[in-house]
Amino acid sequence: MKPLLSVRDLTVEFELTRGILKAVNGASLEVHKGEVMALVGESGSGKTTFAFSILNLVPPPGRITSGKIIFDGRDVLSLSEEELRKYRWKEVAMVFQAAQNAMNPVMRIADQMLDTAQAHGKTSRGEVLERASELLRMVHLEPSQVLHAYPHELSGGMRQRVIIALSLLLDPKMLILDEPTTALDVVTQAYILDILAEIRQKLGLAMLLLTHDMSIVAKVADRVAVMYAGKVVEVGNIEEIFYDAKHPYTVGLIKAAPSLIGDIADKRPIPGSPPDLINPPPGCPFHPRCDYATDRCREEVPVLTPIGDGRVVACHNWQQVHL
Amino acid sequence: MAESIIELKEVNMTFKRGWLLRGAQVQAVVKASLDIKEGEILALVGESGCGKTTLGKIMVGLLKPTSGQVLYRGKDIWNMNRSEFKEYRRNAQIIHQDSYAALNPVRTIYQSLSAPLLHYRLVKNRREARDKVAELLQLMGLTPPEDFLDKYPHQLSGGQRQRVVLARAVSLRPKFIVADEPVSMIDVSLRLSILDLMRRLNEEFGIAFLYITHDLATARYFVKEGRIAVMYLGQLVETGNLGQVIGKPRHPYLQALLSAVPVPDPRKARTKRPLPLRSLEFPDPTNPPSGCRFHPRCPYAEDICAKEVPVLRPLDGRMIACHLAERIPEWHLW
Ligand SMILES: Nc1ncnc2c1ncn2[C@@H]1O[C@H](COP(=O)(O)OP(=O)(O)O)[C@@H](O)[C@H]1O
Ligand code: SF4
Ligand code: SF4
Ligand SMILES: [Mg+2]
Repeated sequence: MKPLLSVRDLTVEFELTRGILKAVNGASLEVHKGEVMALVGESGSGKTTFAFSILNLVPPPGRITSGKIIFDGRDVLSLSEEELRKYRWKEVAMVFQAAQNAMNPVMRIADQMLDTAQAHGKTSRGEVLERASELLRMVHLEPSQVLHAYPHELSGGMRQRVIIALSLLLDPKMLILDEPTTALDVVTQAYILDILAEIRQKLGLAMLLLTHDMSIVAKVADRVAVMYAGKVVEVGNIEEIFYDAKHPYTVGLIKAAPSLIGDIADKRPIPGSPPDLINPPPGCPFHPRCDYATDRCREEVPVLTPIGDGRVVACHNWQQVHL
Repeated sequence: MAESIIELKEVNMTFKRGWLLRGAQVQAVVKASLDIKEGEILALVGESGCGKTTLGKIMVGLLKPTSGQVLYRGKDIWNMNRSEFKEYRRNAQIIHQDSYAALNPVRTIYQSLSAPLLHYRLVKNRREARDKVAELLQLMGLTPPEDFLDKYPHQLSGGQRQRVVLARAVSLRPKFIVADEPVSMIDVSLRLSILDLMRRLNEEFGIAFLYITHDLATARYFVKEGRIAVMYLGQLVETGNLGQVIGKPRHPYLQALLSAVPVPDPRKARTKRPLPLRSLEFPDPTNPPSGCRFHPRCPYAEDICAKEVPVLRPLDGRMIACHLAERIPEWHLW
């Protein structure tokens, strides 16, 4: 089956005074129709930059310097401005990090919906509000109470649900969510994650969920891509990742994720700290922190390699690695 | 039984809302009673805005409560003479989540760490100060110390900076540290290492810790066999041994919170049973509900809940503040 999204060897560079920072450094990933793919990694690992690239929306001084992005058969990086305008929101929509705090404060929700639709050529007020109402109900909001409200009249959790509804207005095939629940309280977070699962059931769209939190991944993802220092280092389905991880960093993330259940003695931090992306270590970028590192790791960059069952991992010693 | 190091007795804290002279008042902490024993570890858990930081600042004397008492080793801190108060303030330290804001950006690590040592005359001269600071850095796992002494805060990672902040707190040889969300701004792979370090400081030097967090999972990791206090909108709702309290929560809010916390295990995460609440909206903390502040969301609320503030009372081996505590059914998370 052809993937909905295919990203190959993507590199994004930021030219800074201190030197060139490779926020994304040869990252590859495929997302299939209708699946929830989690992109997990520590802050600074390149998740947001990777997602911006999918929309061809990397902010300056950032530049995509190499790689290919194919979405539903189309080469995203060679689309014209006009084509990109249609592609964003209609094909791929994104809920930006902390978007619930960046809504236009002087526009009622209904007008934000109409504005967005109009910008994409949908002009029938009645039809747009009809669809908006359907989507608001899908995120468990009562349209008659919300459409006429201003953002400040809604709680943070309600605003985030409005944004999710808004992002779905043009029926995208894929929705990118960047840390969608980080700023919310625990009860609201659980509720929104449940709503996302319902939406996926009803609309059958693909989701790419960016997060640093393994617990959120465990709750909602079908497949997981692990990112470290601008590279995707392992991809597998949810059970493979959590119960049979093959990349030492994935193992480290799972062991470093505290839990309400299970043996506390099994938990431990990953030694060392994340690398400086302007002067990354040679070879495997994880080697200074890795329990499995060998001489080869300090010299040769491991590439993402298929290891069967559609799994891929970028590690010279993956066969020795056990959770 | 160890002696209490800090004890709060029916502490209330009211802030003026806004700066209007006759503006409404907000009660950020309601009748909080809590004690921490010498060398104890206690976690204070609640959502952001529920009053945890206010309570932490009250415990180290940075805020004076509107009413109620704060006792340090049995002595009311607001009735101490100058030297007693100074001694108490040295013994009760606080660290915050933003390690960058906590350090002066134009001072080196050595300068930041030596100043309090010289101020409190814990060292005789600069030579001694430098040795002492190096020793502290070593203790905090910042090795070799020479690599850090002359660096500026922005040259360190978040985890390293938080270690420096801890070093400064520990340098005064305190008996008690309030750690307010110390790991929430730190990379996930490093959070446990900061908690491990605090644990070691507790074990080696007998420093008592109040660990303030919104994250029950890190509280469990850090506290282990110790105690937890759960707060909701300014009210302490349940306190007790952590294992017991999270193993069998009795307060409806704690049941709801635990049922919503995700776990890093997909099979467990997907079969968890959320406790249905009457409302999902977190009330405006500046305009909290009457009586039990949880009542508009609580599935068990009755008339009395909106009228009277419940106080902590013993039940089932812990303390719980709920009018209907005896009648609240158990909630099985799975
Ligand atoms: N506009 C920018 N200017 C300079 N550096 C940036 C910019 N955006 C991101 N970066 C850098 O790129 C790296 C990856 O960041 P990001 O994509 O935001 O990662 P994540 O989303 O995983 O936290 C970081 O080192 C970050 O500081
Ligand atoms: S390639 Fe080597 S250093 Fe990198 S993760 Fe694998 S074993 Fe560790
Ligand atoms: S006092 Fe009433 S409202 Fe509060 S938790 Fe108990 S039953 Fe619920
Ligand atoms: Mg990000």
